[in-house]
Amino acid sequence: MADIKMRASLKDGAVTVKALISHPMETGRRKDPKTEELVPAHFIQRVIGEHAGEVVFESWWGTGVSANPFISFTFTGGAKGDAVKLTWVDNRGESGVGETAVR
Amino acid sequence: MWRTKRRAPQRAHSVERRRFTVGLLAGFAGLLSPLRAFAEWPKTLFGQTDFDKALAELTQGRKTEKRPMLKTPKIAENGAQVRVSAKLPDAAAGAVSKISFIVEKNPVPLTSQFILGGRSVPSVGVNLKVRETSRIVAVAETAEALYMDEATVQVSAGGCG
Repeated sequence: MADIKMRASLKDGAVTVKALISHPMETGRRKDPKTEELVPAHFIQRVIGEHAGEVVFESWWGTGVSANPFISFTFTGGAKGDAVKLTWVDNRGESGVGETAVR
Repeated sequence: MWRTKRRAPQRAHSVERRRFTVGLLAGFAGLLSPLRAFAEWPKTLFGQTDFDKALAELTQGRKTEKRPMLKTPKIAENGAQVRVSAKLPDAAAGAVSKISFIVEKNPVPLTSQFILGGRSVPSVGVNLKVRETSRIVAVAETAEALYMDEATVQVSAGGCG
């Protein structure tokens, strides 16, 4: 399930990363329409962006981020062809990794 | 002319600025070590259900300055996916250590925090859940100041009764 679609593009010396992560982002307050039971909270808490072995970005999330979340961030010091890695970890300890080359 | 409660020059380490100094040192530590070494995921903040309290915990009593940075739609047809972004001028690059997005009417107002390092450009975007028409506040933190901007997003009545 851990699917990340991402793109990193270089413009004016800065790399902008845009990513879509497949994740339910359950708040723990939603009821299952069939069973009327609360769906347990299941959401991403941390997203980490790495370039050349260095963490260039980190984000902390609560339950207020959308399901299948979109994020974008920008960093300097990247060049075309460089690998950019994105890792997320959720409240159940599950995680996912995505990687792309700067273009 | 200094008034009785003088404003310390930017780099001065007066007593009332001690908190700032601590923040500054933490900032430097953050630059030297990987961002992973930053504090743990802020559990209490993400559990805070009261908007004012969440904002108070976030600002820690520091004064905020209004600064345009937040971009949101005026009207969102679907409150489940609302694209918000915050961008500060490039001059602020490296100085901004954290950007937070808060949705006033959400059950948990604080939605997300972006921790920025020395190579970060202060420009971030994310899709948020906005349960009903609400004020959205962005807070950007630097060692010297807290910048704040807000916008109201109208959420059209959706199917999520």
